Amino acid sequence: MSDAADRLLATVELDDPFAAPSADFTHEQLAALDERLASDRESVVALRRVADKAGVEKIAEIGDVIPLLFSHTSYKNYPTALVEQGKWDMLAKWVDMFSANPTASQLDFADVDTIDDWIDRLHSAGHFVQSSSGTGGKCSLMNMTASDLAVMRRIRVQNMAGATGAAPDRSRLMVFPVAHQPGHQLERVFEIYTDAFGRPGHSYWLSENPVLVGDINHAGALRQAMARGSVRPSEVAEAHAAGERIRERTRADLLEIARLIASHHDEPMMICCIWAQHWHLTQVLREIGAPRLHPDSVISTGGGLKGLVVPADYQDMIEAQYGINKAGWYRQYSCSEIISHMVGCSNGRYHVPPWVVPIVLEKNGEQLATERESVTVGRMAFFDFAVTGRWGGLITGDKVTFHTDRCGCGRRSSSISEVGRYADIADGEEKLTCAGTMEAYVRGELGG
Amino acid sequence: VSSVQVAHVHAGVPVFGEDRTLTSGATSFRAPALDLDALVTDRTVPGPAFDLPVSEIISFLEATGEALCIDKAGYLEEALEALVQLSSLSSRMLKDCYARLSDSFARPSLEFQLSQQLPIAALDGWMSVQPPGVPISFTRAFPARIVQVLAGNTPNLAATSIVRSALTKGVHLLKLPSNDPLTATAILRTMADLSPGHPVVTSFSAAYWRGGDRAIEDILFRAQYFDKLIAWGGESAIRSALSYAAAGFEVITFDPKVSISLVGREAFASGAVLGQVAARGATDAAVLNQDACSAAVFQFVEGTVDDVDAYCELLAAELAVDRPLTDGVARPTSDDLREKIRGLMGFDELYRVFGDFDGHGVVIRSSDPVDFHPAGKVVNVVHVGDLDDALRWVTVATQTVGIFPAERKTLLRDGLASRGAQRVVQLGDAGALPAGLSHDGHFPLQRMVRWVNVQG
Repeated sequence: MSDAADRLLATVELDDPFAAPSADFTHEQLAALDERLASDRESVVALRRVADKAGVEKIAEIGDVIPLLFSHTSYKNYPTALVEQGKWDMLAKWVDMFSANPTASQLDFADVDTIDDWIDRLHSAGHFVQSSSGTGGKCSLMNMTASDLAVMRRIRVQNMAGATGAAPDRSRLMVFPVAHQPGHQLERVFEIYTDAFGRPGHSYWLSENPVLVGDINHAGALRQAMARGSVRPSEVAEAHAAGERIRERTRADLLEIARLIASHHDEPMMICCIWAQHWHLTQVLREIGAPRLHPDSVISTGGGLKGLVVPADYQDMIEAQYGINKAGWYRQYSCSEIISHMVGCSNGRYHVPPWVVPIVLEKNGEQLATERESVTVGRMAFFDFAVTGRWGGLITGDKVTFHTDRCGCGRRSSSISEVGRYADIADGEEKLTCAGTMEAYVRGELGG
Repeated sequence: VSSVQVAHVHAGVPVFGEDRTLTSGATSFRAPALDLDALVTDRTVPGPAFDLPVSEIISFLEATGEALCIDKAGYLEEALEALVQLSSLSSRMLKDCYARLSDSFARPSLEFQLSQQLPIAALDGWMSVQPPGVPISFTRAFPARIVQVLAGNTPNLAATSIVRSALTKGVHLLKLPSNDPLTATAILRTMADLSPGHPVVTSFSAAYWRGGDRAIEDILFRAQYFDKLIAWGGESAIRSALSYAAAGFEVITFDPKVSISLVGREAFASGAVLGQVAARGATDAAVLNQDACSAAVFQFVEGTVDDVDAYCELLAAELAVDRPLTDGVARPTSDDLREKIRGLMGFDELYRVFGDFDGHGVVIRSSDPVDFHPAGKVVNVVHVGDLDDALRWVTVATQTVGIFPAERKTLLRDGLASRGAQRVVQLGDAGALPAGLSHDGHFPLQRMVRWVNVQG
């Protein structure tokens, strides 16, 4: 790890890493970017390719890094055929292209049957490949090293404790109202929270039945097979029935975890999930007449509603059920392709830590967006120095409002408000052409 | 930001105005106010051309074709100039397309269409028919009231739509597309100058509104105003159109489609043959720079990997050549596709990438179709041991299949049609659909009328 990056990461130990103006770190960040480019272009094939093509040798100013930022979809662009046909060495080679320790393809995949076996095999060899939630039926695959995991632990525990005042004294009941998803970055985060804040033996998940990467990829494969016309009606019926079983099961699991929360309501707990899941959980808590939580409980949230239709005041409704003032909730903004996260404040913004370089681009992702009176609106990009197993530069699909002024909460670090997804923002009328895709001919539950 | 003036047409009369400014992407339109009442017609009054004999319509359309060639008032020139700002096609290609607009109005083409699709006796009057065991009856291809959501990927589509609409005598409202709100009105204005008040002229209205705007479409798209809605793809445009389908309100769709090529091992007979096949393959692959459903974005080639790579290399070079329906240099490959294609690089055994992302064209060789959709001069060449192996990739989404050598069309056509393909051509001919042949699995003229019986 580079020296400048180490110094930036060391700020995680400060009482409040978000207090100082971000500008104080600009010089150090540029130095760290330049060091990271020098080392990663040697090891990361994908970075070397784009750096060579763009002719970028050095990072002297922030604009230099723009052509080197990877798209948030990069990590799911592996050919599906590699998974379908079990070409595990090739899939490892694909991951290696993005890795700073590109040795995964040298492993022996003799006993590997599924992608989940494959992930296990990589983990056992120190390639802690993480998957994303698999929107669209295909999971991202991203390499992490053991030191990435250690840094993630440090950041997560410090940020959580700093923002909520919860002591990492292993005293709490931990509730994760989601299914296990081995290999998913969120699973790692919850493990870290459990180790630091959880009373041993008292962490609860929605279900012990894991959602496997293979299941998610299988849904995508089924959709493609449907497009090719090679799925029988009985298989569609089975997929529908399986979907229905999962919904019923989730409902039963939610009821169970809601009862558990109700029975422990007088103990401090920590409930971590995204907004959509808080909504579902509090709906069930309300139905069973669960009492309010212990006032020292911590609610952690982030992510979005994932297309869920809810009343405008859904946050107030969630707050009312938990009985925990939402101003004190742990809120975060991030994306699964980086390790760090921006931490929410009482003023409703998300603050950027010194070890993350925030870059706001024009929608096209090619130029810096223009700042007007300390506010910049545009496409969010990050360079995260916490990431060392691969290149830390990433362009998101998010449209944000970015602030460099002092926040209403008193902090001086840069902050983000109003996060939306470009994909959800209508932009002009469709240019009608008759050029189609096969996927457009797949309907209903299979249709993603 | 460029600004383009869009005219409306109310029952054959051009309407100008700058009451509304609408933006679409980087372009803004100035258009007249939308007069909803002027866009629908009174059902108690027959349409102006309902009883006009087909022979007169053909003569008028033929004269229109000649007038389009001369463009006396400069309507086409004016439209072309503005269209360059809106279209994804180059001005060179647009000019070529405009030069051929009059082809759609040629008498042999008009007569052939009718001969294939509609008996003139039923169009011009009540055609007598004799069902077994009952008195003589009469049937008529009665003109309909139709609203048509046009696509704008090629100016030719406006000409085709106007010709079909005129031949079937109905009352028509053309919803102008944002990527070409100009060609249809330029043609209608040319017709109006030729003979103001002509029944064919007064049968047409045209207007621009934002496609899919429910506030407008929910009002207009009703059985009480129109018998039918014709919608040209885009996926979301088709979905939106279908949502209005109701008893008494038929939706006719020209669906978004995917086209393919099948190249037999005969292509590798000699270097000269392979060169010609690659040129034909490129012609089909990049129809309208791939903004067309007939563009063969997937090509299945029979041969060894080395053979297929040789084809790919030539194909990539041929994609960079200017053709009547292709720009040698089109828009650069989209970022999204670039990322996806880059994801395949470094696996030469499985994937090889030829060409460049700069708009000259990209070819990806693989053993199975890639799991993304090629667009914007990106072609996926899939190597197969036998063309029969390629049939499993032919689906309900498949439109045109271009085949080399032409002789193999006969052996393959039943299998292709059974799996869903709509059209089989010789490799190199995908871009040209002669008017009158079936289109998207049906005969449009037959569907643009209402079949009415008078039983004896």
